[in-house]
Amino acid sequence: MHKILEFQVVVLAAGKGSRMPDVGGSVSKCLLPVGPYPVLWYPLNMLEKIGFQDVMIVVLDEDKSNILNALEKCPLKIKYELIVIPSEEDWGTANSLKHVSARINTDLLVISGDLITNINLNDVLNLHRKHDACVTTLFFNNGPEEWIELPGPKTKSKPDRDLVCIDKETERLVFLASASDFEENVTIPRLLVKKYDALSIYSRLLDAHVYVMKHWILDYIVDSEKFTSIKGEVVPYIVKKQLTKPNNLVEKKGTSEKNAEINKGIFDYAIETGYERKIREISAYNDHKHGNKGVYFNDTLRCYAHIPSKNTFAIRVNTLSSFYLSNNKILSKWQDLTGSSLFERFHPNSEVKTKQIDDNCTVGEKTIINEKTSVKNSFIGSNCNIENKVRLTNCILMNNVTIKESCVLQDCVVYTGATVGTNCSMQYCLIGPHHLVPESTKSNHQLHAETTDNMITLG
Amino acid sequence: MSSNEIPPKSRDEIKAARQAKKAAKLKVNNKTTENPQLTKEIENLNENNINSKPKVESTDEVDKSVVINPNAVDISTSREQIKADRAAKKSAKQLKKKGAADGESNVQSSVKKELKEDDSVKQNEDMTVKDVVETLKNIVSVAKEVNEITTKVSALDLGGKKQEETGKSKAELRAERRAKQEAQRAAKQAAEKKVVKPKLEAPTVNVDVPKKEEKVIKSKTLEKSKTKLQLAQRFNWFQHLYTEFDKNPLKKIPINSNLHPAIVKLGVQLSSRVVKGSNARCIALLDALNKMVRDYVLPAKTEFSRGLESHLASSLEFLWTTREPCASQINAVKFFRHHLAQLPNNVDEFDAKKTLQEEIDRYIREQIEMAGEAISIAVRNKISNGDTILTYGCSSLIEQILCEAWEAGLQFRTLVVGSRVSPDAAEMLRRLCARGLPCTYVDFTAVNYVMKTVSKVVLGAGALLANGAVVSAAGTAGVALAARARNRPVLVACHTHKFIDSLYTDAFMHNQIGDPDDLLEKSDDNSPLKDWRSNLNLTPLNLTYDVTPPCLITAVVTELAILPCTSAPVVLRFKLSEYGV
Repeated sequence: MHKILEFQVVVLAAGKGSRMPDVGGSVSKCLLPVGPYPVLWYPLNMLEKIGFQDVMIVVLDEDKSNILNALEKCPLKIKYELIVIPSEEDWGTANSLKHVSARINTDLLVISGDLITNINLNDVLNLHRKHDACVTTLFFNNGPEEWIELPGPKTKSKPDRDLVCIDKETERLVFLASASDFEENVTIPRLLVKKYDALSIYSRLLDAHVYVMKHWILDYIVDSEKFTSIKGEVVPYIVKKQLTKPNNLVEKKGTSEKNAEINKGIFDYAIETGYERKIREISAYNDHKHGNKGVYFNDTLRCYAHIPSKNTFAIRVNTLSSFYLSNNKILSKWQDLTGSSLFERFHPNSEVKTKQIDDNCTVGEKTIINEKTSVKNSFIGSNCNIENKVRLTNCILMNNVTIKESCVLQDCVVYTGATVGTNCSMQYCLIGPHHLVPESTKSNHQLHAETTDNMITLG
Repeated sequence: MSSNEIPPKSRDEIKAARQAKKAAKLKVNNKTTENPQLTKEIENLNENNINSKPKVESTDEVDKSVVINPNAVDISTSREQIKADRAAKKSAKQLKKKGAADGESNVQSSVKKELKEDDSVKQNEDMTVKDVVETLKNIVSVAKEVNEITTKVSALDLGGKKQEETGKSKAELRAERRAKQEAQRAAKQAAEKKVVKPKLEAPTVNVDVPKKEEKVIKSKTLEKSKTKLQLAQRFNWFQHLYTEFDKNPLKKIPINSNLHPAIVKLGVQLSSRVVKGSNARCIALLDALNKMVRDYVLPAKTEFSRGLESHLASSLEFLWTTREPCASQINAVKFFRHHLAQLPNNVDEFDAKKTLQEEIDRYIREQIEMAGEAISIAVRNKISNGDTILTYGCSSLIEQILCEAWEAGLQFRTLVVGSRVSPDAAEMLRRLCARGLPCTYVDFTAVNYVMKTVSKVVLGAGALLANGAVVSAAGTAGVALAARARNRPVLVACHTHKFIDSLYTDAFMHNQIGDPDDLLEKSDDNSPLKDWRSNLNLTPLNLTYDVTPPCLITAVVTELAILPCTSAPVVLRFKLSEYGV
């Protein structure tokens, strides 16, 4: 039977990892390893778990083959389709949506490809359905990110913060702006204070980049050329528009039809086909207690934000710290996140000759770990070669890494194809892709990579 | 009677039962003559009651639970005696109440007690002599059963011990169950004995058996206690309603399954009560069905009506798990199915969809919108200047009536009555105030005080039953009763699409359990009731509907006419002939 889909899913995985440290060469963000699988696997697995069968993944042109290869090796039943966007042009998320818009004919669920969480997405979808919202978002209120000593040179990174204003009782999202837009003062529309008794303003929420959207919003994005980013422009715009009334209906009659076509505002897209308005009017429900306005203050546009309870696990792998942190925690949360236990920690095609490897490690395909090595809390990718007498503690080794004899690596991240020469001793270091670390290097909090910055950092 | 193996005591009791029966028959024949034997018995009964009183008090705790705690039972006071004492206590209470009543009424009261223990259903206050005879017959039959069981149990006693050693087999479980039943019956038997022949000694044959078995039962109940924890906080009389209030289905909504998105959305809205009120629910359902029909794609080689019917069935199954259907929804579905079935076999898909969609639109327009206008006009004619109209809760129809009457220039005051539990009445007040009507809001507790100032009571309805009873938001019956006490006319405004041909007289059988958290004050974080779920002795019960009996309603205003509510069957018949549903 032909199915009528309720939501179509778009996973945005074309991020370049601009918040990650520059290690030279290209590293696609969605293929960073978290535990045994790449980051992208986690949102896909979550979608599969709650019952989605098809998903569209927006990826960069240059990453396509890598991602296809990587996903093939992962246990996934969900059908995925990679949609390519050109890597040279710097496309925003809204541009990506425009690119796929032709294939979408239902409401839309947009998920960022770097989200790892154990939330039941049905909560978000139900909030969306309950209020017939136009946009529903997801934020996590898990407090500040845990501090953890990071590999690489010490940097003072300022995380981007959003100002999020939510009516706690109804979870309605009424104000959204980036904190960097404000210097000292934040002005909140007076209408908001009039409307709501109690508003909660958050500045430390983690935006999950999960958006449930009505189909007409996509039409609006496509038709109006002004948007490039969903988070930065589209959602704040719609949230702001909640406050305005669609009063242009009367004016429009006066102007000629051609004019009206050009000036099509957002309210012209938000058209309800059935009896929704009447149902809202006669239903005895109301979402607020005071004032004499009808349900939802008679607003046509309604945005909601779901904030799950504090003990949900959520992380977005978009910075070095979250990448490192997620690797640190992934195994302890495995059951919770994926709904299944991890059977094969060591890939069947790998050769693990040492016995000094503990339970918190994973080893990828065709990797050889020689005798007399000690591996603790480390994730080792595929095609790696770890020679004798190597000690690895809390390390992340991506694919094709070679660690020569007698190395001691602690809290290091070794990117794809790198080689560490014999007798090195490194702590909290980043080793860039295809970099060759010379023999007997001793370093602490350093970046070893072939970048232009590198010279400056080292010098 | 039964075989010769019966122990002498049971024969005694049968004799006693016969005696009582005879006595009752005598009463039927000549009511004036008093049977001296009977009065004697009653005297005995009285004596016994006085004697047994202190004992009963000591064993009160035991009486409370069906499964008796074996530790609490004294070895000397057998279970039988306790039960008997309890019955005697009850009858003594009744005797006290009746005071100087004659012998017959005493017999009646004691018999009534038995009746309650036997069936625990009949609550007829005025019991005729015929009833007495019937109950005595019951007693005889029960006595028969008891005899059979005592023989069974004596056999079981020997076998039971062996089985206890081997562990829990099926047979043992059966034995447990039998023992339980037997214990209950024995209790009844004892009660009968006390009533009919109070001085009869309690039997000792089958007392030991239930005790042993009960230990096993107890250990089993401990195992089950975890599941019972959840059941514990459900009100006993309403156990059958609790399946509805279960938020789990929402967590497991299948995504992109065969259900239409509009149906899924409606399910969420129904269960979260965003769509409530019978008219809103009806329109919302029809709107969702409309969208479902619009997007329905007929599979190959299927008749349109059959294909859609199966699709409809699965959609409705999902919807009813989110919230039980109300009368208007049931009727709307009936209507939809009727038109679906009437489609010709070889109908074109496009035409069929068009017909159905038109029919849905017509239903909403005729049955709800135009009918609402007709009712509004009818009620408006009954409102005169200077009236005070009382209404309860929130009804879209009442809102329409009052607003239109106000806009037509009538001068009246509105009294909105609401209860603390539901915010509906406040919503009604808001809507009326927004339209500029002079309103007063009182709590349900004050309805008696304000009733004397009221000239008419106008109420909304959730459903109108075939006997004329009105199912409406909990509290409506109370308002109607208060109005009747002050002799104020009660008008119920009700579309005919809410008439339903089912029948129930109380709010116990069919009802819905609301969110128990609504009963509690949410704004207070320090409320001791905040974690009521951890207190097993606390059982909040939030019923959604109640039933107003037809005698409290002056008239029902429908779009057809203003009718006495007992003519509901006429409306139902009329609709059947007119619309086929």
